[in-house]
Amino acid sequence: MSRTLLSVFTFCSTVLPAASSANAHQMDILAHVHGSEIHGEAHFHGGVAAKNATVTALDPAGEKIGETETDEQGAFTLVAKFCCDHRLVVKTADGHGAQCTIAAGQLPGSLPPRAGAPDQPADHHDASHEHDQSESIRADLAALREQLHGYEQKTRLRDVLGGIGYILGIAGIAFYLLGLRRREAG
Amino acid sequence: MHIYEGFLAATPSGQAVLVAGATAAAVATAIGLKKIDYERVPQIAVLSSAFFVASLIHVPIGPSSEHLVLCGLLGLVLGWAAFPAVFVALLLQAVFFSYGGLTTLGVNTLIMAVPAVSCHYLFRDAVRSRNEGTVFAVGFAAGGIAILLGALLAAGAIWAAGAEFRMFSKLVVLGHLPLVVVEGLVTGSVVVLLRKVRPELLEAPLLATSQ
Repeated sequence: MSRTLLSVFTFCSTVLPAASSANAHQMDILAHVHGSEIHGEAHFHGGVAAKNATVTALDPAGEKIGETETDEQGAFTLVAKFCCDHRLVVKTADGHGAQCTIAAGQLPGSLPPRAGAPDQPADHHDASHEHDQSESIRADLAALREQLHGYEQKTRLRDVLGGIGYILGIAGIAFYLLGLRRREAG
Repeated sequence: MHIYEGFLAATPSGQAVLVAGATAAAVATAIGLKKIDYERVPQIAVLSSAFFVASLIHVPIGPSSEHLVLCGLLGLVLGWAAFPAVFVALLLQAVFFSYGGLTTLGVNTLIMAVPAVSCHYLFRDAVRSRNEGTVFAVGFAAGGIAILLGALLAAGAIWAAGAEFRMFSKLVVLGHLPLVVVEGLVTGSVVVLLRKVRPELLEAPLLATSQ
């Protein structure tokens, strides 16, 4: 019994802090488009800015079309040269990373299309600025909604696991109390 | 099947229902706790967890969806210990998912644990049958009757709360009718499986696995 307890204790004291610190080093990258510039910031979970991290922009084919570095606040700016989906990959020197995608629809249609990239809808190029903006807001909202949905799913799972954990804890207390009763009776 | 927080508290008779429910649930949970043996604690914890999680499994029925409750199964396996198991699971559901609520905890515990204990008394002998068909039928009946009974209890609590709620009480019973079949099928299958692999949970002999 004591050996089992010891191994549980060892597991809790070694693996769990490691797991939570890995979680603390997960990164997030957020970006939005302003004119033909992509502004964004990269930070670790918990809000710490990712300083001096490399941000690479890749086209849908995976070729590099731009590169920059984050500043002291974790912010970065990248000038878009093409009107295509930009996959932004941020990497720190110690190997942490995250990525997000800026859809081609959010970039001004005046930029040259990337050779090999799928054609943009024809109305995109001569569309009014207002139309562009509402499109971009819609795309942003869709991305936000998706993110929110993912977050909800994640918290739901945590709640389920938390609830089961509580029940196990209560079972442990019941064991303890019934064990006391048993010892007194015996 | 949960009565929502604040729903009954609007009228004095509704508040009386809440107080009476809480008192009765406290007494019944105390009886359930007295009947718990040291060896059965893990079993109660596992079924309480199953009950807690089952509420997230939504079964699409017609335009809306209902979630599994599993109180028939709880009754067959746990007997009176279903009361503490349901109480703990409902408390956590109220805290984590806002299903039910803290003031309706007593009434909701009664709505789901009374059918469980009733199934225990109704079917505890029949579930020990050596015939697989009979065992499935008993499980089906326990699952279905538990839901029906729970819906009737919920409707009764709403009915007692006042004239303005009476329309809802009919809806509660009608809304649960399709779930009677689904829950019956699930409980029947689980009981047959338990008899094949863990018959001691139902205090019954092992059901022959080969035909």
